[in-house]
Order: sequence, then structure tokens, then C-alpha cells
Amino acid sequence: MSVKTASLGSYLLAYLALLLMAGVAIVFARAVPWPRWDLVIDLALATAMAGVVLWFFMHLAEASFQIRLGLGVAVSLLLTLLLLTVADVATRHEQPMAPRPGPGFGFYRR
Amino acid sequence: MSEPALGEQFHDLERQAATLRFGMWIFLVSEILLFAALFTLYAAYRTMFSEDFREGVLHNTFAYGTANLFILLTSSLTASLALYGARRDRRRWTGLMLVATAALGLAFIAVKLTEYGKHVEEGSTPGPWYHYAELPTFGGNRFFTMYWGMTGFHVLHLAAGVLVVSWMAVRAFKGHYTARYHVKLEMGTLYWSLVDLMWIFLWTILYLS
Amino acid sequence: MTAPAEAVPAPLEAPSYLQVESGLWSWLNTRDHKRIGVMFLATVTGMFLIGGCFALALRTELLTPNRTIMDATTYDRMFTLHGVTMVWLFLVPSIPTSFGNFLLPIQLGARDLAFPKLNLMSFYTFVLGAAITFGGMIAGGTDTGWTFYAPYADATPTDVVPVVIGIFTLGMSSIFSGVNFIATTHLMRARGLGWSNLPLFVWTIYGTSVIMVLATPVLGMALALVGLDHALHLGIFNPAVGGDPVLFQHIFWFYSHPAVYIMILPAMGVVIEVVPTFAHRRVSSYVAVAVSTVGIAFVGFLTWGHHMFVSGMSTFDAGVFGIMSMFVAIFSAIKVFTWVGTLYRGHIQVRTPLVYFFGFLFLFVFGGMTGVALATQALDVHWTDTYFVVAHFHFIMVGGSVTAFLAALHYWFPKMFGRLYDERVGMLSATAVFIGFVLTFLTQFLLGNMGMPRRYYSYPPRFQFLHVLSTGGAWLLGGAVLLALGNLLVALRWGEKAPPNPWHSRGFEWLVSSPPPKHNFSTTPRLDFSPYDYSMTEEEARERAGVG
Repeated sequence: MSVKTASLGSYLLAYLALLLMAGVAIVFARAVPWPRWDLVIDLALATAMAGVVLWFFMHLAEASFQIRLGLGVAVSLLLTLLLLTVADVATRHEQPMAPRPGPGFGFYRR
Repeated sequence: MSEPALGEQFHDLERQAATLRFGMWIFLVSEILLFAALFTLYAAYRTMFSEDFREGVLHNTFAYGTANLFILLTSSLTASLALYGARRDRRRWTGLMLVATAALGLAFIAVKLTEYGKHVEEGSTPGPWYHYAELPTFGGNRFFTMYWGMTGFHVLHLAAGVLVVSWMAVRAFKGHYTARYHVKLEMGTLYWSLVDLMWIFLWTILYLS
Repeated sequence: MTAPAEAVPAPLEAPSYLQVESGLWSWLNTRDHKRIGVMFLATVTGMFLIGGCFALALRTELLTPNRTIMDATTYDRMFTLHGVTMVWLFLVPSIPTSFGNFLLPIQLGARDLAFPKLNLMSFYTFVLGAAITFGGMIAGGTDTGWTFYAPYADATPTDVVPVVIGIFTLGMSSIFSGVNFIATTHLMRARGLGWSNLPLFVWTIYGTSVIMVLATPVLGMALALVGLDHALHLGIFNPAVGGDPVLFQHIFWFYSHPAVYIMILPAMGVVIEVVPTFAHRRVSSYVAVAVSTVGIAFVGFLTWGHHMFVSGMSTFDAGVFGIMSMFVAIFSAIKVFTWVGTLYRGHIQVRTPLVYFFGFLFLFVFGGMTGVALATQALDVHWTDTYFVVAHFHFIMVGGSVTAFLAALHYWFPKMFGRLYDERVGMLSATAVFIGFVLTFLTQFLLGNMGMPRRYYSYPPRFQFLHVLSTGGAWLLGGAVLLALGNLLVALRWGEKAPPNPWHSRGFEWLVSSPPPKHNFSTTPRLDFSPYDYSMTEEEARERAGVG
């Protein structure tokens, strides 16, 4: 096994990078008044954090091609399911989103 | 120190380790797709009720979720350090790091349970029990139902991980993981880091924005 | 089939996997992929017979427009039971867990699967799942159909939860087997065996395993959520509290459409082994078959929405899914052409497995063509939830998968049990299966086009003639299957001893003796040639592999 990405230093650096990115994400979500964009930025940061976990803590850096391929397929299928389902919900203009609250649901405001 | 067992279907330990590692990854790939259904439902409901979901995130117990994020990130580090120890035949170090990992996992569960208690108190409970006065909307109900579903499923995975890591700690102290053969430890830490990775996304969409 | 046995016996007189140990415990606690494969084979065949009994009961009920032998609620539970049994207890595990388990390591030149303990666990998980499912069905049963559509599944007075837990458990078994097959294919291949001379049956089992591993968890989650909805009224898919039932259909069909390929890909794998063997000719295009296998596995994930054209899904999504569905037809057509192309100018030897293949070819093409029609939105709206759909998927599931399962059973029977069966009875039953099938389901296309809705207990008297024909066909089909299985059971005890390679195939599994010894090969073979190369003699192939 290559020691490059599995050394004490790289583990600690990865950990610090994760903490830093989490901090940046919090700042974007709470301190920067950028509605609509903060979700995109925070998801991008989450993806980057996930990348660090995968690359260093899960040793993707040393993993074989077939492992990376498997992971790639899984992520693309996750996105396929998610995006095609969201595309349905987002382009379903003519149908009502959900029925009006009935008499039994007086609690709800909508 | 015990001699690692070579299965009769293999010719050498290297190939056996590579196969086990690969098999574990395929299992993790399957786990990712298990969560995919939940992420999809979340995304679809967020598209339908975007305002309510935004409000739900802002009303959520941010401090607890963030504390748990740091707990899990740290535990991923300790799990990796355990592997670092095993690769250098440091039996005690490996065991201690695994104990630390399991303890952090228990801490996560403790925080999570306290947090659930708080949700029950304020009424942000799933489905028919939802009576959260600050967000009395269908979207609010959807958000907190998804919240309970996703975090509940995650914490079940984490509890399983705590059991696995504790068992690995015992094995580590007994010296089962040597520099020559420690693939089973590697498999356990892979699973642990995946549970951590899931929390990064759950934290982002349920607590952050 | 009484060709003289090969002069070359197994290199060492190693005892076969059947004889190496004896006693019930040696079976129940075995790690040998061949024994686990045989246990799976016995289990899924039993499930097939049980599911078939439900089917015959349903068809008998439909002899008359109103009540014949059971009341409406029993009928609803019965078709649910039929669907659940046939889909999850028979079709999904059928070929991969039995023949896949038995043959994959041998065809790869390995001693066993990568994870033998996991393999045994998969078997017991399957048995547990089957027990829970049947337990739930006997205790109360559910009337949702195998699709568990929300919000009806949330609201039905029948008990959904145990059945859902059972299917969830079966899904775990699927994932265990899938992980095992994938890891074995990647890392346990013999020297010289690369991705370009892998037996094509391995390719299809590999593609199937990929689908099992990637799609089954999504089904597990869908069913878990429906179970929670039913038990706790969370309303995840209940519109009364803001939920959306169409989302259930999305995640359900994300598994259940690829599941169709879990069922049909191994069937295609069986066919591509059977055809070259009995045509004594190289596969017309190895690359085309391998690529179309992977292509079907991949495109299968992008077409689930064609089950939902009338669900209220957006027209944009429906268009995307409609177009993607057509790619499946392209890959399937490539496969049909390679099968037929392999037969062309071959030295065809008509044996029972090949007779099943002829039936398969007709039924699969017919089912596939109607599938193209059904994936066309404008036509589908007319046919949705009619017998036309029922007939279409039975053409693929029964006409395709079950026919191929029976072909596999006859093709590999001598290898698995070391006995030869009676060819005349085999061919007779294969022909009867085909006729019975066509009679049962061709009539259902006509019924569906006339407007007969699926899952209905009663119908207008003008449909009765076709219903009676269909029921008659079903009984013929049932009898033919029993005849085929009876023939094999007789052969198991009294059949002639089979030589290592009774069909004179070049497939790698025929290099070992029949039945194979515990570790398949006495020495690790060298498989650096094509399993479809009929320019070599059998002796040359054995010598080249280093096994004889």
C-alpha cells in the first residue's frame, strides 16, 4: 500500500480540511445573505467534504479502478433517480400539488 | 498473534484481501442506493414545499446536528488512525483508536436521542403526531417526517457500526490485525466512514440550508 | 442422447460434490457453491409450483363471469399471492441463485465463489424471507397486488406489514448473492480468462448482479416506507396530509423495472449457451452479445417511468422515459439477431433445450414487440391496466424467463446430477409448454384490447369464450411443466449415467466431470481460449485448458 495518502500527516490534514469546509458552509448558510444560492454552495461543499472522506479516510486514493468505477456507477444512479423524480415534480404544472386540507386537518395553515 | 486464515477458494492472502475489500465496496455501493430513495423523496418534497422546507431547516436543532457532525468527522479520523496503527503492527494503538471511535459513536447516539427528546417536546414529530406550533403546514409535517425518517435510518446504521467497531476493538487487542493481513479492519472502517459521509449530506440538507 | 462417453475421464477419480459428504447436515451446513445452487434450485422450483397453483386457481375462477370457486376477497389476495410468489420467490432468484451459483465458479475456473459463507447466508435469508412472506399471507394476506401502490396500501384493511418485511428480507438475500457474484467475476477468474473470452452466461449473471446490488436497496426502502405508512399512518405517500403517491411509484419502479432485467438477462444467458452448443458453431458476434448485456443492464435504469404514463406524472418526464425505453428494444433486437445468426449454417442438433429455445425465441420477440407498443404513450393510455399488459409481461416473464429456466434445467441437468433424461418426453413437454402458453396468453392480448381490465373478479359474458380458452391453456401449461419436471425426477433415479460432455459443447463447465468434484478442477485450469470455439476438438480444448 502506498503510504502517501495514509500517513499521519495526510489524515490530520484531511481532518482539518473537513473542519474548515464545515465552517465555511456554516458561514455561507447563516452569515451571507444569499438566498437560493446558499443551498447550492452548501451542497457543493458537502460534496467536497464527502470527496475528502472518500479519498483519505476511505482510501479511494489507493483503491483499484473497479472500486472507483463501482462508486461512480452508484453515484450516477443516485443522481438519475433523484433528478428524474424531481424533474417530474417540477414540471407537473397542470396537476395540483396536493389537495386542500379537509375538515379533519384544521391544524394546518396552508 | 494468530495466523490469518486463507479460504480454500483462494490461492494467496493478497488476492483474498483484495476480494474482501472489493466485496465490501460493492456492499457500500448498495448502501448508497438505500439512502438514495430517501434523498430522492426529500428532494421531491422540497421541490413541492420549498418555503416550508426552508423554514423547517431554520427551525431545526442546528447546535445538536453540528455537534454530531464534529463527533462523526473526528470518529472517522480515529478509525483511520486505527488502520494506521494496524499497518505498523501497533496492536495497542489500534485497539485504543477503535475504542475511541466506538465511544464517539455512542456520543453521537446520546446527542441524537437528546435531540429527539427536544423534538418530541416541541411537537416536531413525524406524521400524525406532528403538532409543531411554529410551522403548522403540510410542508412542515413533510419536512419533519423526512427528518425523522432519514436521521432514524442513519442512527440505526450508526448503532450497527458501533457494534462492529467494538467487536473489532476486542479483536485488535488480541492481535488479529497485523501489518500483513488486516483487511477485515479495513472493511469495518470503510463502513464507518460511509456512515459519516451520509451524515455530511444529512447535516447539509436538514440543518444547514 | 446416447453418444458414446468421452474416452477421457476426470483426471483424478475425485468423488463428485454429491458423494464427497453425506447426511442432511452436510447439505444444510455446506459452503460448496454447487450444493447451495442445488438447494436454491429445489427451493425456487418449489416456489414456482406453489405460484403456479395460485395461477391455476385464478384461471379456474375466471372460467365463468361471476363466482366459480372463490369469493372476491379471496381472489384479490390470491392474485397478490401469485404475483409476490412468482416475482420475488421464483423469477428474481430463479436462474442466478441456482444455475448462476452452480456454474459461475466452474465457468470462471475457480474453486468456489468469493464468499462461500455469505452464499450460504443468502440461502437461509431467502428461506427466512419466504417463510415470513407466506406466514403473512396465511395469517391474513393482503390485497394490494404485488405492486403495493400507495395510497391504497396505506389504507387497505388487510395486513401489508408482514408481507413487506418478508420481501425486504428476500431483497437482502438478493444483495448478498449479487455482491458475491460481482466479486467472484472480478477477482476469481482463472489464468487467461479476461473480459473478452468470459463465457456469455457469466456476462449476463454479472449484469444481473449489478442490477440486484444497485436496485434492490431502493425497493427495500420503498417497501419499508409503505410498511411504516401502513402501520403508523405517517402519510409519507398519503395525499390527505400532503404526501404524494406518485413518488412511491417512482422509487418502486426504479427497482421493479430493472427487476424485469434481473429476470430476463439470465434467461438470455442460458439461451446464448444453449444455441452455440446445439448449432456446433461459434457465437455470431461475441462483442455484440456482451455489449448488449451491459447495455440492457444500464438502460434498464432509465426507463422506469413507462409504468407510470397514467399516474399523473409530468408529460416531460413521460416523454423522456418513453424515448429511453426504445433503447431496450434495440439491445434486445441485437441479441435476437445474434441467436439466429449463430444458428445460421450451423450443424443443428435438435434436443430438448433447443426446442425450448425455439419457443423462447417466438415468445420473447412477440413479448418484446408488444413492449415497444406499450412504451408508446399514446397506445399505453388505451391499454393501461388491461389484460394486454398482463399478456405482455407474461410473454416476457413466462415465455421468456420460465422457458429459459426449463431450457437451463434440461441443458445442465446432466452436468448437475450426472444423469441423462428421456429426450422424447423432454421434447414432448417442451412442445406442450409452448402450446399451452400461447393458448393462455395470446387470448389475453385479445381480451385486453377489447377492454378486459386486469385484476377483475367478474367480467361481461361476451368475454367468456376467450377466458375459457385461456384457462384451458393454463391447465395444459401446468400439465406440461409437471411432465417436464416428472421426466427429470425419473431421470434423477433411473436415468442413464451422463458423460462429462454429453452435448459436445466447448463451454468451460463441460471440461469437468459430471457431476463435478468438490473443487471443480483438480488443478487450476488455463482458460485462454473462447468457450465457443468449435474449430478445436474436445480433446484439444481439454489439453489447452490443462485439465485432461
